[in-house]
Amino acid sequence: MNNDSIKLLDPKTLARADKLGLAARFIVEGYMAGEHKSPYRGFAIEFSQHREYSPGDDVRHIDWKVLGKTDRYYIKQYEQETNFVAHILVDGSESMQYGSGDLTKLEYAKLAAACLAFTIIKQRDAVSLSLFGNSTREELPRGNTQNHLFNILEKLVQFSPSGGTDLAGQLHSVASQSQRKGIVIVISDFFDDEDSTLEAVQHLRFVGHEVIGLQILDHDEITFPFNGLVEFEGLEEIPNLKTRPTEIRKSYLNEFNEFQEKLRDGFNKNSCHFVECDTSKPLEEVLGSYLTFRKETATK
Amino acid sequence: MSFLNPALLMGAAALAIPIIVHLLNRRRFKRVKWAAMRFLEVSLERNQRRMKVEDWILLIIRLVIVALIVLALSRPATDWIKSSGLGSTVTASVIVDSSASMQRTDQNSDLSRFQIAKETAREALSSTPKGSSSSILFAANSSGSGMKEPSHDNKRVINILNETEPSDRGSDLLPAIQSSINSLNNSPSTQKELIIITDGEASAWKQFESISRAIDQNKDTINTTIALVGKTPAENIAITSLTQKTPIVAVGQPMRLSVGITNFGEIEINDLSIQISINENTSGLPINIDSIKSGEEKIITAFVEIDSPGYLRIKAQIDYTDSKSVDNSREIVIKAVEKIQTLLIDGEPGRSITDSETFFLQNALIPVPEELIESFFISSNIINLGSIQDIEIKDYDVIFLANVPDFSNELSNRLNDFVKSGGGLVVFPGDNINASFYNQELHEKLNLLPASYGKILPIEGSNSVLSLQASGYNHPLVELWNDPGAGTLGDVKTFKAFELILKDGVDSNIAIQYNNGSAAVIEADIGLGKVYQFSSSADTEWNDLPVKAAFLPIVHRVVGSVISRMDSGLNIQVGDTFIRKVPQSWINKEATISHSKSETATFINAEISDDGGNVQFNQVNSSGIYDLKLTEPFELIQFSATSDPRESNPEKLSGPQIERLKEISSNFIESSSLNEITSAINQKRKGAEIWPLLLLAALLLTLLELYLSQKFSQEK
Repeated sequence: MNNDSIKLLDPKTLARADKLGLAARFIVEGYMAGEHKSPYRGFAIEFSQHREYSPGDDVRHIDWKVLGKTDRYYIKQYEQETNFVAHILVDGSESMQYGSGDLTKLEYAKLAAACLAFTIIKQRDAVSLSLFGNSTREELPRGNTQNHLFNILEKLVQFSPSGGTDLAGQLHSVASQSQRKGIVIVISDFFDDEDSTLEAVQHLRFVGHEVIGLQILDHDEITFPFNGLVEFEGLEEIPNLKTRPTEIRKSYLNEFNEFQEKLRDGFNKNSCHFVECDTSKPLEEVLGSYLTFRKETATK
Repeated sequence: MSFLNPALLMGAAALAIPIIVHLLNRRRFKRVKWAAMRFLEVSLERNQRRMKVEDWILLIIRLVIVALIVLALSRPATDWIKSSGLGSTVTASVIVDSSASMQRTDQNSDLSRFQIAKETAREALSSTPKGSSSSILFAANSSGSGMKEPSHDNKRVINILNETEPSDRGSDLLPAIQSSINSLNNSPSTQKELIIITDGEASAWKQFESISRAIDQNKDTINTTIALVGKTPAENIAITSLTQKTPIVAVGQPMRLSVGITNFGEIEINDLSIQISINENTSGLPINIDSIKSGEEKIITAFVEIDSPGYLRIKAQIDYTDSKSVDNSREIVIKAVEKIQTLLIDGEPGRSITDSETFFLQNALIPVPEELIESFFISSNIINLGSIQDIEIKDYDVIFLANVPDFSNELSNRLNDFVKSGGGLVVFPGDNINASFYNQELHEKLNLLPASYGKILPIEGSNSVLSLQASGYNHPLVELWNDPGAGTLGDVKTFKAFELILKDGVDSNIAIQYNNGSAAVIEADIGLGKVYQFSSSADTEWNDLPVKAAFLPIVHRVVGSVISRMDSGLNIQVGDTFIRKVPQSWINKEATISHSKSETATFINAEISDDGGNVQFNQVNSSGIYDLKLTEPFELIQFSATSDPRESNPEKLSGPQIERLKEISSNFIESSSLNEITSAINQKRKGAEIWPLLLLAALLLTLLELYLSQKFSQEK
């Protein structure tokens, strides 16, 4: 684990997240060795699929037969190898590059993803990671080892944003590919078509996933505090707009709040959590609040 | 609309400033990389049109503000606003001709020229914009009364105008115009107006060249308006002179008057009647003039009987109605005496009365038969020098010294006091006189004689004879001989005479001179009295004057001159200063002076002078009789002021002169209509300045701009 990877693990956040844990609100498909109830019994030994070997994978799971036949390294993956699977989807579009404070939205998102992955893996649950824009750009299958965590952190550190967003497409893809119910943690600004996004969330819920939306917003996006004449440069190939922000502030905030309301309502209707993260606020505070809330609602 | 600072209109280029600022502001913006563009796009789409409209509104308001400020700085003046409540600070100096000719009422007019001029001046002053300063001068033959320096108190100036009455003075516009131009040049105002309201009669413009030069030299800085009121009347007849021709006015004696009547009109006047009156009572029958042609002057002689002593008001009145009634009469004041007492001191009595030195003198003084001597208005007492001690010389009016050798200092002093308190002294030399006594005692020491006796003329042994002057009779004593019909003094021969040497610094005149230019008779005012010093004898020993016809009028005129010495200034011209020598008794006493038709009087004090006191009065503005009264003890002196006869001449400015005035003035109006004149003056005015309105509008727009820009930039 290099220094950049370590930086992603904010000690304060990790300490609070570790203490609180990440409990699935619903029954997940895992056995009870963990903290989660599972409808299945016995150890997870059923073969699920092959996956190409990547450094850090346990060599014990290399399928030697496939190696013999194809001269390629494949890892045998098994169902029920963990208590639950958390799919962390991080928005890597250009819109996430914006940041008026110390951190851009993407950096904040990476930090959140890293902390969540660390916490989940520490409680011996599995985490998969997907970094996406218009399509999936980086992906790590689920895993619950320390090496997997390192891989996740490495991916996060090395990732740089580009292009637009197809959030709905990503969610639909996760819903159709994942065979086991789990937690889908979407870390994004959600600046995409909200109707499509909510439709995708509904799809995930339909296949049994719990969905957590972590909306990463810059403080300026929430308050729109600009004065004077400002030219706004679109981050996702949208033409520049020159205007006096004070004269349209109310209108902007109305639009923005309407959008937020719609998202919040959509997630609520699907019994999903929607967490708004202001990048000006410390991550441990935002994440801690949510996890506290989550723990409280889970025990009920 | 006109502009007082048109050069500042160049500032219109400043209109580009708001546009440049607007464009520059559009180039000065922050760049922000932005993720939430979708919300911006929607908001902008909704507000774009409104924001553009707001931008245009603000830009237009800013342009209008700059335009209004530029306009205000260029000081536009407009006739749209006739009210005097706004803008333009002019300095106006109004000159109203207040001379006698302005009292004329023209045909088809209810108002006199002076009333029209006053109304015009009032309108011109009232219509000056608020904050202006103005002055008013009434021009007659001095720099004029009124208010010379411009004042911001317009009401006070108009009050002065309202209260001023026309004068009977002659007119000369130059002093008033020069005074006004000086005041205007000292004014910091950028708009200076000189308004001259006169009747355009040539007499007021007698210094036309100087006037036109003064106006021309200042035409770049002073806008001059010349308003000529009045038309040339078809007829105007005037009494242009009324003079007393009798040297001594005495009770019971007929007095000869000379009356000058001039027809200044364009038509001949027939059957003109002139009535003489004394103290408002008609004296004798009217005198008729058959006809007097246009431009003709007729001198008529009138005789009036004097029946009471003292001050008499003699008036000549024409029975005729014309455009100017004030010059149809003329009034003078004379002082009539009851009896004149003369004392003749004979220095060479002779064996018979015909041999005496005073024989010819006495006959000249009382040229009547013996039975009429008592009733004659002059009485004489002949004495020798030795009897003078028994005589109270103060009882006499005139003392003649005829060839008196010399006399005591005591008598010298008595004579000195007598003269200085108003008596007359006539000195004739002769063979007996002690010239050095006269020179040292009476001339050098007492200053009683104006000249010293010098050498004998003509030079002894030359056998030449001196003659009296044959022409050039300038002194009142001999002006009679200016009339060729009266003969000449040139035939009077003098065989012997003293050279009369005048002393410097003595107020004296040569009354008669010899043909070689040397003085024959010198007169001088000494104190309140008068001294005549002859160079030759009173009898025929040294000259033949006593046997010439001229001797009697000369002697009578000498007596008359002494008698009227105190009253010589009783008839003055309007505008002149009345000066009267008064005795010591007037000093520190309350005296008043008033016009006989006025209800108000002016307090006046006698000023101390070497020989008594002086009363001076320089406010003689109206023609007529004035009363000078000493309250305690009561004493009344009357004098008369007559108007300048040139004021009766309605001759107007010539065509070339009017053309010249049109050329140098910014506004030349010739009309008798009040409305025409006032509207012409107002039309030429630059109107009210509207810069305060423009600045107010600019200020309001600035406030509006601030409000709108604040409102537009509020969160929406």
